[in-house]
Formats: sequence, C-alpha cells, structure tokens
Amino acid sequence: MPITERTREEALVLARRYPMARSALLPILHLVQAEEGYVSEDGIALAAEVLGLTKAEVASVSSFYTMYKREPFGDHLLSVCTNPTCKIAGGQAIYESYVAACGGHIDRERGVMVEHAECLGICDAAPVVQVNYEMYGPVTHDEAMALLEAAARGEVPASNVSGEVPPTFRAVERELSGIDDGVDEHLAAAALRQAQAAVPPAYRSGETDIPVTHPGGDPSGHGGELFRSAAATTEGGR
Amino acid sequence: MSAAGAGVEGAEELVTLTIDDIEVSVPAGTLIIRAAETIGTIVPRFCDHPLLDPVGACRQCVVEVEGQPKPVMSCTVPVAPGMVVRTHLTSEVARRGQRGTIEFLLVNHPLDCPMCDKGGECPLQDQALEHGANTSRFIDQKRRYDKPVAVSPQILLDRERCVLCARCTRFSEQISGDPFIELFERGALEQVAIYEDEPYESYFSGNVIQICPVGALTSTSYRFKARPFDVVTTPSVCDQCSAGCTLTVQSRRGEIQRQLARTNMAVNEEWSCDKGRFGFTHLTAPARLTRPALRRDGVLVDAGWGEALGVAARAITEAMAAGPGRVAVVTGSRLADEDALLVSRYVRTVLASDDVDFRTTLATDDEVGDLTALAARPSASYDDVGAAPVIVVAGLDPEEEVPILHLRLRKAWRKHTARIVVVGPHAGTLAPIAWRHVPTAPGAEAAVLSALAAGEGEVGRALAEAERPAVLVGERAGAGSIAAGAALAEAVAGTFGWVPRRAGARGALEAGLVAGALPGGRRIDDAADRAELEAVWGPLPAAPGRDLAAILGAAAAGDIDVLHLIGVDLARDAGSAELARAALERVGTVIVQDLARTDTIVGHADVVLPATATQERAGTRTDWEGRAQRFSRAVDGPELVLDDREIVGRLAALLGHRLDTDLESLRAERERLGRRATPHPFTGTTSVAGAQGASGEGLVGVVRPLLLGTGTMLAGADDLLATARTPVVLVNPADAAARGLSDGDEAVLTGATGAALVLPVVIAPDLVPGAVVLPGGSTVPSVTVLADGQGRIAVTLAPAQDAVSGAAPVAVGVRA
Amino acid sequence: MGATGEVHVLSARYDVPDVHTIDVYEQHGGYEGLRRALTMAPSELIDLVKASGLRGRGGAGFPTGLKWSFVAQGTGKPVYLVCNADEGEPGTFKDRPLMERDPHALVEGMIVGGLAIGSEQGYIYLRGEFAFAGRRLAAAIREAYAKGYLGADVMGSGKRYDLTLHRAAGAYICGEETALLDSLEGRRGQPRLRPPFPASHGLYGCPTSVNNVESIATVPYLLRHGAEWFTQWGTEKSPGVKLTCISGEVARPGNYEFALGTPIRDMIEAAGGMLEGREVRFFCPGGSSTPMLTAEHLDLPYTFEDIQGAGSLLGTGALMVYSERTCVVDVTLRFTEFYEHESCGKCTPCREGGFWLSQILRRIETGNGRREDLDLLLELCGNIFGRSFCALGDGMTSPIVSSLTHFREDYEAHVRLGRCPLGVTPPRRDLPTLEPVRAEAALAAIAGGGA
Repeated sequence: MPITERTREEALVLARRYPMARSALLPILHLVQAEEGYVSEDGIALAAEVLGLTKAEVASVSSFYTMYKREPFGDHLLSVCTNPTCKIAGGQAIYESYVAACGGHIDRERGVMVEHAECLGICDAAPVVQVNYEMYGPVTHDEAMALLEAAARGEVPASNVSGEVPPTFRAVERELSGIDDGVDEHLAAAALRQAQAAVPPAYRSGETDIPVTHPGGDPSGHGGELFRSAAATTEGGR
Repeated sequence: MSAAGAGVEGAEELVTLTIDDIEVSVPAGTLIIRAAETIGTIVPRFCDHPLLDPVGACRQCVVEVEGQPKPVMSCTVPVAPGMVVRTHLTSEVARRGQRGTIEFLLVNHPLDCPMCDKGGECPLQDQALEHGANTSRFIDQKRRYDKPVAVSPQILLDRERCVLCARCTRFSEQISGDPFIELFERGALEQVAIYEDEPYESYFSGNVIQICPVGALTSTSYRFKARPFDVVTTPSVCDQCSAGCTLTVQSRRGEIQRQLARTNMAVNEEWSCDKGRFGFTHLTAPARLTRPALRRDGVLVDAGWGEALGVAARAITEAMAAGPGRVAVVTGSRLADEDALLVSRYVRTVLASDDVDFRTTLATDDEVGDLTALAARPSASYDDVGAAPVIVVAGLDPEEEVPILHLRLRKAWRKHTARIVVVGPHAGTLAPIAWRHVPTAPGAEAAVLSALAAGEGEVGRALAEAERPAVLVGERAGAGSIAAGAALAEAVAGTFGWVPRRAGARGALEAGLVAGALPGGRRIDDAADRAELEAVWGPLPAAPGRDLAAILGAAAAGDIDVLHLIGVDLARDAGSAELARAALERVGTVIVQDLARTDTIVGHADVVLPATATQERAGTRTDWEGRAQRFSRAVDGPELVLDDREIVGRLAALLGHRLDTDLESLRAERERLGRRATPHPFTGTTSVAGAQGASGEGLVGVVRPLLLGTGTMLAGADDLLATARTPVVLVNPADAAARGLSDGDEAVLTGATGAALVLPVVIAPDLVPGAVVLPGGSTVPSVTVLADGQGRIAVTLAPAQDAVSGAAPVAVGVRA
Repeated sequence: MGATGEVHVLSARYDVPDVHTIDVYEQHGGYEGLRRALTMAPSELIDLVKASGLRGRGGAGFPTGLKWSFVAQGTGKPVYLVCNADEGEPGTFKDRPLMERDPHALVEGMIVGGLAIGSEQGYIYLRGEFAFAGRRLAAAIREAYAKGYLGADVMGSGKRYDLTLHRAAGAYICGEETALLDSLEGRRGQPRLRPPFPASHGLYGCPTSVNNVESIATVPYLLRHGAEWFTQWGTEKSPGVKLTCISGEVARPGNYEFALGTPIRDMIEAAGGMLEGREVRFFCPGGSSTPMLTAEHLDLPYTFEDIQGAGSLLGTGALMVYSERTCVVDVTLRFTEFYEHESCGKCTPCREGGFWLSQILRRIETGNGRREDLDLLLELCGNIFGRSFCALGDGMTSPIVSSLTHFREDYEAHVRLGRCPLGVTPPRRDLPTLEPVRAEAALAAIAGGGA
C-alpha cells in the first residue's frame, strides 16, 4: 500500500500529539512501515515533510533503530533471541535453521523475514522466537520450524505467552505507531498547552535549547511544515 | 568562548584553578580545555571545536582532575574554583587515556597517510606521532568502505578515515542550519553520510572540509594537488561579497591551489562560504582577460597597452572637447578602496565630471543623499548583530547575498533566541529562523520601518523593549528605506547597517563614487564639503552629476560619447537590460577595464583594458560594516594585466594629469580626507507610497540575487557551480492558481518590453500577492531583460505550454 | 535486617484474572494510592518515597525520592515524568510482565509521580518489541481517561495529568536515561552530556524525571501501606522487595519477587535449584553488565551493598545462572557481541573497543587465540572503562574482566587447545543488513572476519 493523503493526515495527528513535533518521528516511521511494510523512500520523504526535517535527518534516525526494516519482505517477521540463555537453550540453532530454510534473511516468496534479536526480555521461556513481536517460548527446534512454516502459510497460532494471535507485520506496526491508541484529543490538547507554557519546550541543537514549535506555540524555531501552515493561518488573522 | 556564552555585561566572574601546577584564572563557565589553552597547553582533541557545542565524543582530551574518580573529558567540563587539573604533561592517567584512544581510533583507520590530502596538517597523524604507539596491536579485520564517495560535487568522503567526531554534522546542524550530512547507522557501523537523493547542497559546505580533523572530508578541487608544506600561504580578504571574510590563499608555483577561511572572530569567525572558498578559478579561466584589446571592424583584436590607452585617451579628449557631460564612468563594486579613491579623483579632476555611479540598480532620486549621510556614520557591526535581541532585516536575503552575515544571524538566533524580523515581500531563506515576517508590497519597506519606529504592533513593541536591537537594510529595499531604517534604529536606540551585496560597494561609497557624493560622506553640492576636497584634489565640479539611470538615458539619447566602465558588466547587471543595451549601442566609445570577457565586452567594448584580480595585488577592502581590511598579493597575474588604479593613472597621464597611484599615498590620502565631521542628515522621505502597483494581469518582479550564478567571478568553478540553486520564479499561491500554475510547472514570464523567460514555478505562501521573486544573476539572459526602461519589472505569467507565439521564450538555466 | 525470602507484593495481582482491566484492578485496591495522593502535597509525596528508601529499579539504584526532589520547580517550563520501559538488559524480564499483567499499576504510579514532581504530562517510553505490553498499556490508558483518572480533572481534583504511550524502535542504549530522552525527542538514541541533568534540562530542555517501571509501580503501594511497611523487608540501604528474574540453567526459570537481602542461594532454590546434576559455576547477579560472580558468592544477601561489596552490582535484578556445562568464554563473547551491536557509536572507546574486543574473543573461542590476547583484552577493557561516554562502555567490560579474573584458566585452555574445550563453536557474526549503496563492502569484510 503506498503512502496516501490519509497517511499524511495520520502523520500530522501523531505530530500534534507532542509539544515538539519531531518527537513523533519514531511513531511516524512505524506508521510508514504499517503502510509500506518497511521504511520506504516515500515514507522518509513524508516524515521529513511533515516534521520539517531533511531526509538525511530522518534516515539518520531510521538507520539507528533495528525495528525499521530497509526492504519489503511480506507479512511475517521472525526474531530469534540469540543471547546467551536462549543461545544455550537452542536459539542459535533455530536462527541458523531459519536462515538456511529461507535462503537468507528474507524469503519474499513466503513473505517472511528472519532476524537474530538481542535479549527479548523473556529469558524464562528460552529459547524464544517472536513472530511480529508476539512471544513464543520455550520452543523446541521442531516447534520453531513449524512456526516458520505457519508464518509462511499465514496461519500463525496464538502465542503461548500472551494468548494472542499476532497480527500481520503491517498491522502490528500500525499498533506500534500508536495512531489507534484512542486518546488522541487529550494528548493533542495537552501538547498544545505545553507548547504555550511560559517557557515553552525547546528543540535541542547540540547543547543549546532552541524554543520551538508546535502549531500553537511560539513559532520562532524549527518546525517545517507545521510551522509554516500554522504561520500561514495566523498571518491571515493578523 | 562558546561555553562562556554571551557573558554578563561588565566584570565577568573569574574562576581560579591550577592546571599542571600553574595557577590560572578564567571566566566562569570556561571549559577546562579552553582554560588550558590560555597557558599554552593544547590538550589533544578531535571532536572539540570552539565554535561548536561540546559533544565529548572522541574521548581524546582526557585529563585528570583531583578528587574525581574517573578521568575527565576536558572539552565538556567547565572549570570550578580550586580545581586541580593535570593534563598529559603531568599525568600518567591522562597520557595513558590518550594513548588508548589513539589506539582505538587507529584500529579502523586505513593508515593511508602517503596518499591522503590531509597528510602534513592532520591532527590524527600529528597526535598518533606524539601520543600513539609505533606499532599496532590490532591483527583483526578492519572496517572496509568504498572510498571515496561524493557527498556533494565539491566534497569527497572517505569513511575509512573518519573518526566520527561529528564536527561536520554538528557544523551543518548548529552553524549553517542545513543538516543534509548526518550520522547514519550505529555502533561500529556508524558513518557520516547523506541521504541518497538529497545532496549536501549548502553554501557553507566547504567549512566541513576545513574542520575535519582527519582526511575523511576532502575537497574535490584540491584533491591530490599539494601538501601544506609546499604551498605559499598569503592572507587575503574575500572579494565575492561585502561580508569581508578573511581568507588564506595557498598557492604553489604561482597558481592558487585552495583558499581557506582565516580566523577573524570579529567578521567571519572561522568560517567562509563556498563562493569565497572555491571561487578563485576565474583567475585562470579561459574567459580571463590577459591583454588589452581594441575593436577593429567590429572584432576585438589584441593590442598593446600604449595603443589601447591611446585610443581611449583620444576618445575621451575628443568627447571632452565636444562639450561637458559627454564622458561618464560606471564602476560597479569590485574596486579596492585605494583604487576607488583614485577613480573618484579621476572622474572629478581629470574628467571634470560628476557623472559616475557604482551601483547597477536604477535608483530613486533620494538614495544618494541617504548614502552620503550613511557613509559618514558608523555602521552596525557583526558583533552588534550577534548581540542584538531583535534584528530587523529589510530588503535583504543574507544567505544569498552576504552569507557570513546569515551565519551571524543564525548564531544570534541559536545562542540567545534573537528575534529576527524580516520586512519585505518575501521572507526568503531567513524563514526558518525568522520570528516574524512583516510582508510588504515590493518596494514598500520604508513605510513598515517607519511604522515600527512608532512602536506599532507586536514587532514594534518588541523593538522598543529590546536593548540595542539591530536594523539591517539591503540594497533591494525600496525608496526611503535607508532613511527609515536609520530612523528606526535611532528611535529604538539600536544599531543600523546598510548591507550592499558586492564587495566594493561600501568602499566605493566612502570614496564618493556616486554622482553627488564626495569621499567621506561629503556632498558635492555642499560648499564646505567641496572646499575640503578641493584643498587636496584641486577644483571640482560644483553641481551634482548624473547617476546610472541618467547616464544610461543620456547615452541612449546620444548625449554621451564615451562610457568608461570599470569592473561592471552593464549588459548583464544594469537594472534594465534594455536601457543598457540601447546606451551601449549608441555610445561612440565604450572603454571597459575588467577581469574577464563579460557580455558587455563581447558585445559593446571598443577598448578593453585587463585588470588584476584581488589575489594578484595588494589593497584594502571595506566590508558592509565599514571595516577596512588589507590584503596582500598571493600570486602574480597574467603578465600584461595591471591594477585598476594603474590603468586609470596611465590613462590620466595621457590626458595630461598626474595621479599618484602608489598604494601608500592613496591610503594616506584616504586617511587625510577622513569622514565628514558632522554627518549629513538623511534625506529620504519616510512616507513613501511604495510599490508601483502592477497594472492588470501584471505581477511586480522582485529580483533576488542567488549566491551562485553566472557571473564571471565564478568562471571555471565547476564543482562549486554544480551546487548552485536552480533558478526559479516564486509565486504566491493565489496568483499561481489564478494562472493555472502549480509547483514545479514551467512558466513563461513576459516583461513590459515583450522579452520573455521560462522558469520553473515554486509556490511561496509567504510571498505577498501581486509579486514574483526572480532569480538575479543566475539566468542567461539575465532577468533584467524583463525590466522596462526605468528598471521596473512587471511580468505576466503563463504556463509554458500555453505560450503564445511571437516573443519566442528563452529557456534559461544555470551555467555549469 | 528485615524479613527475607520469596514474597508476592508487586506481583501479588499477577494471577488475578482480568486484573489488567480497570474494574478488577480497583477491586484489588487499585487507584487507592492515587486517591490518597490527591489529598497530599507534592512535598509530602516525595517525603513518603524518601522515607521508604525505595531505590531505582532500573539498574543504578539511585534513591527515587531523592531523584524526584531534584526536579526543578518554578521555571515556567512544563515538567515531565518519563517512565523508562525500555527493558533490554540481557537476562531482565521484570517490567514487561508487570506491564502485561498489571498495567494499571504503572498508570496509577505515573499519575502519583506526576503529582509528586509537579508534572502534568507523563510519557511511557516502551520498548518497541513489547507489542503485547503496549496493547495492554494502551487499553489501560484508555480506561483511565474514560474514568476521568487521566485528563484535565484527575478524579475530580481539578488537577491535570496526561499520559502518552510512546513505543520505541529497537535500541538497547535508549534505556540510558538521556539517550531515552533524545530518542523520545525523535533523534538517534545517543546519550547526552551531563550536566545539565534531566532534573533541570531533560525532555525538551524542561525539568524531567526518568524512572523505571518497577520503581513507579511501587509507589502506589507506598501510599496504601506507608513507608514503614516497605522497610519491613530488606536492609537499611536496600529496603523493600524486588522483582527478580532468574534464568539460565535453573529448573524453574522465571519472574520471582524477593525481599531484598535474601541469600542468592535461596533465590536459586526458589527457582527449583539447578537443573538435574548441575552445579553453579558462575552467574551474573543483575544482568549482563554486572560483573560475573562465582559459586563462592552464593551466600551473599541480595542487596545493593552486599553485591557491590563482592565487586559486582545488583543491576536490574536479573540473575543469570550457569554451570560448568556452559563455556564462560562463549557467554562472554555473546555479551560482548551484544554490546558491540548495541553501542550507539558516539564515543570512541565503546564503538571501536567493542568492535575490537568481540573480534579477539571470537578468535579465542574458535581456537585462534594467542596467549597475549588475554592481557590485551584486560588492557583494552581498562581503556574503555571510565572513559566511555556512558555506562554502556563500562558494562561492556564487566563480563570480560570478571570472567578473566575468575576463569582465566578457561581462556588459557582455549588458547592452548586451539578450540573450545566444551566444543562450543560460535557462529559467524551476523550483522544488520545495510542499504547496499552504503556499506556492502564493509559488511562483507566484517562478516568474513569471524569465519
């Protein structure tokens, strides 16, 4: 699914949720993955445009975090923990078998990406495999391979930890963006309030704090699109 | 400097500490690394840069502080009273720390010094030698990257050499504000990069080459050309704009290899713009004039100096004999101060005329009065601007016109949240840091400045409350703006600066190179002023002469026989291309002295006199602040070229006048003349009605020059020109919609004369309706072809595909 | 010394069905603490937390009440409370279960914390990979808003509190509080210079307190039961109870809760003891960044001060226990690769040191080690420790230095035999995929280096 006007609207909703729009960059990148299945060039351009950043700034951030995928792969991401406890329990072998079965990290035909993960915070269930960030563990080697097959078929069973059936990668990314968290009007109002504080939140540039922007705040700082559109509307009223 | 911040007025609180057993007192807030510098101890460092915020990334500047359990990074920790610091000079802990860091930095370094441009001036090389081990204990696999990659046409990046100090990325974020270069990835794979389809196009990008502490960022044009120890280094002053940046010119065997920013905290700090840094290739470009020429049978042919000057002198003698007012001089704004003074004297005494102008705009009547008033007054300085809490900028786009001033404005905004107020039809490149944009119709800036002086509105109140705000007026601001700006500054107890674009403008003004003016802010129609000058120069004409508009008008009407053009390309730069063409075609003899074969020379010159460039001579240049700075000769010019004042001096001699062209004499003369003791009052009316409203469908054209354009002073700077901004026409959204134009469309612009240009449209919501912003100096032909005979531009705009036949539109683009 | 042994305080509600919903939560004493807090002045709230002696549960063990008292007041800036829910320290799994099972405990704690430090806005910075915890927290926040416990008028008190759930994107370093703030501001998660400290210049340059999930979730209990109740457990310097994660070669690895001061041996017993026929050989007492201890340390009471006295740290309360069947060099290698992978790249020692250390360790584990590598490892660790920008670099050295101290003979055996005595062969390094234009050559080179 390509980036649409609706994506842009939703990105703006996320941006307004914070007194400093740039805070929405990580959520917006999740939203981009929800639309595109990975952080696409269009997605980077969208984030840059909405937040008034250069694309270099956006890509600088997106390349820092491991959850932002750089190419499309399909609906299922399998993450295998290979930290010591899981490794000893068989995680390393699972990971290697996954890579062998997929002929690499991505098997586009089956819509699967496999990756090794650092400690997933569930060492009591070692070894652990996550399917679209839903935990499965402890899994035997055979169970793990069955999980891969199930993912390839699109019939992933419910997690034995949470009891939930993982949504597709895009669907879980939409969740992670927080766009559907459902308390948006509260958060947007709160952000606006903070932006109008006696001393408003500041954009940090090096060790210097620069007062910034929110559509309702003092438009004397960064802010790109949001600033410009806000400035355009206030201009008319002046 | 950075850590101490702006500092409190008056006595700064001093903190006393000891560094390596030496007691030292420094202002509170000073970083240890800076405090150590005051006693001559240079703590090794890579990431630290005095003009960038501390980051503490490289961990090389480690020192020991008594009572601290861990070693301390001296670039991040401010001094404290009684602190006992031990640097590598006296501390084994510090020495060990530095050895350890150097070892880590060299783990992934390719150690390719013999083929690295940085060799010989490389902090990493120097420190590895001084503090590092002789052999490496690293036997494993190094990181490998492709080398080098281009981050812009003028900068190459070699990631294997990079120590990830983030100086370049911090510069682009903190100083120049165009973060196109960033750190990507993380951990051991962290690397400097650009986003693929977003090149590092910044007017200040060259600075990252200079501040890179290793050979990671290198200059395309300097690559493999020279070593720092086999170049000759000469201090110089940049002549590309009025900023007055000090530069270091490095040459080898008489050829300039590169130019670097030379530290001058009062002016350019440690920076320069790319135009100043890379703009020296015109000295040796094919278009460079290397010998005099004469037009014979319509063709320019080489001539000797004697012959060429003889033809010029004869033409002038004949014209003067034919009656008064038949010779006029236009100088542009390239001259060194000494040369400007000599030309001023030449016009008034040798030619006995006052028909002279250094401007290329077709100005309004009262501007000369205001300029002379201005010339005798002190100007706002960079430091004034840097410290001002509110800064009004009218009719000026500093990043495009005077880039280093832009950096000062940015610094003021960033360091103490200076409120920048843009007055004019368009906010321009200041938009991202501007506090308010007060939109005006084109040319109506003066009315707004007057209203602000009256304390009107939010901006007026902010100005009234501010302590020493600054008011900057550029040369594009409309009639009365200089007077209104000065009045505003006075009303709010602030400082005022007139910021022309070209390097020699302020010097020319102070030399009186404009009709009606005399050196030092004097007026030719003021008897006392004239008497002061006559005491030195001898008899002077008493009545004000003609300015450029009048000169061109008279020339076009056949009333002028000789035009002596010194460093000005009227065909390209005069406010009205049509008027300039008519004048140049009609005048009997066009004498041009210049650096390069300009359009004027090619199309119109009868006598061509080649002049030396700044780097080929010594002299003085006055920047927009009125600060005079001397420069030395760095290289020899072509064998047969002469300094401008030599050319004029020889011509004067042939006309029977002996003018002393010696630099020292001219400096002494300038000193003696000084400035008028009591400046003349400003004359401009502040109730200017403002813009000539465009009639009907027409839109008023505002010409905003672009930094990197088609001028001859950028000839041959191909890498630099590849980073030029695309010339576009900015259109208000409503105006664009009414004409069926959207962002990115090609539009045909048709002027009153019927001339047309094709330019891509950019929709600019912050542009006032009824106006368009045109790219000055960066199209062929120049946008001045759209102007009418008075230099006014009113254009009609239509989508390119609807272009009516008849006036065949000319496609334009940057020369590259 | 207070009572010791296994307890169920913070984890008491874990098995209550549907306690993640607000109604069931309230039936089990939920939001009582908030109700009480609304009757108290901010200073009283801070005093209460101070009196309880609660120390931060995120790893550093800084007293929570003291931290809150440092938050600058009256600056005209908004004040922020940020919950560090970026649990990622290897071996740690205490915050995620709490958020999944008892999410309202965190929501309630955040509101109370906000009242204490004068904040009207909280952020929960949640590790991105915890999708289920995110779902539960988002639902809890919705419920709290719907009931008027969050928003413009908290429980009709006229006080305001808003809470934003912010999901991260995969970077261990963001658990460092200043890196977390940079990440929350939409930047690369790289730590900031301190000073200024977050208490005065935190999120958006505003006064900020960053606290761990467990610390915050403990606060409502203090309001319900008082500070003294909390000090019935533990020692003077380490009062209270602690969620503890026991993993490795134990019979019943899992999430346990102990009174601080419980001997480590008893904790392992509570987790069913070692797997059949195995003996404790080494363990990390508080996550991978805490130096390894050995069987001789099993009788140490589990307190901040005792563990520190033995040369390690209590850290996040993550006990990873291994027997002689596990190669200590291999474990150390994996930890080092973890730190190399998670180093943010900002400072030289951590970035280049991790790169170098993991190559040496890989050589040793695969039988290509040299005798001099052992001292080289120690020396490099000495050049990283205390010189890196943040604690990640220090943490990187912990497993190496401690394992070399306690088990140098294991390393020597690897070098002598030219292989791992236990036959563990570490895999080739796996690195994240880079965009092809940027560093394909780098990848190939590094990946090849481990072969």
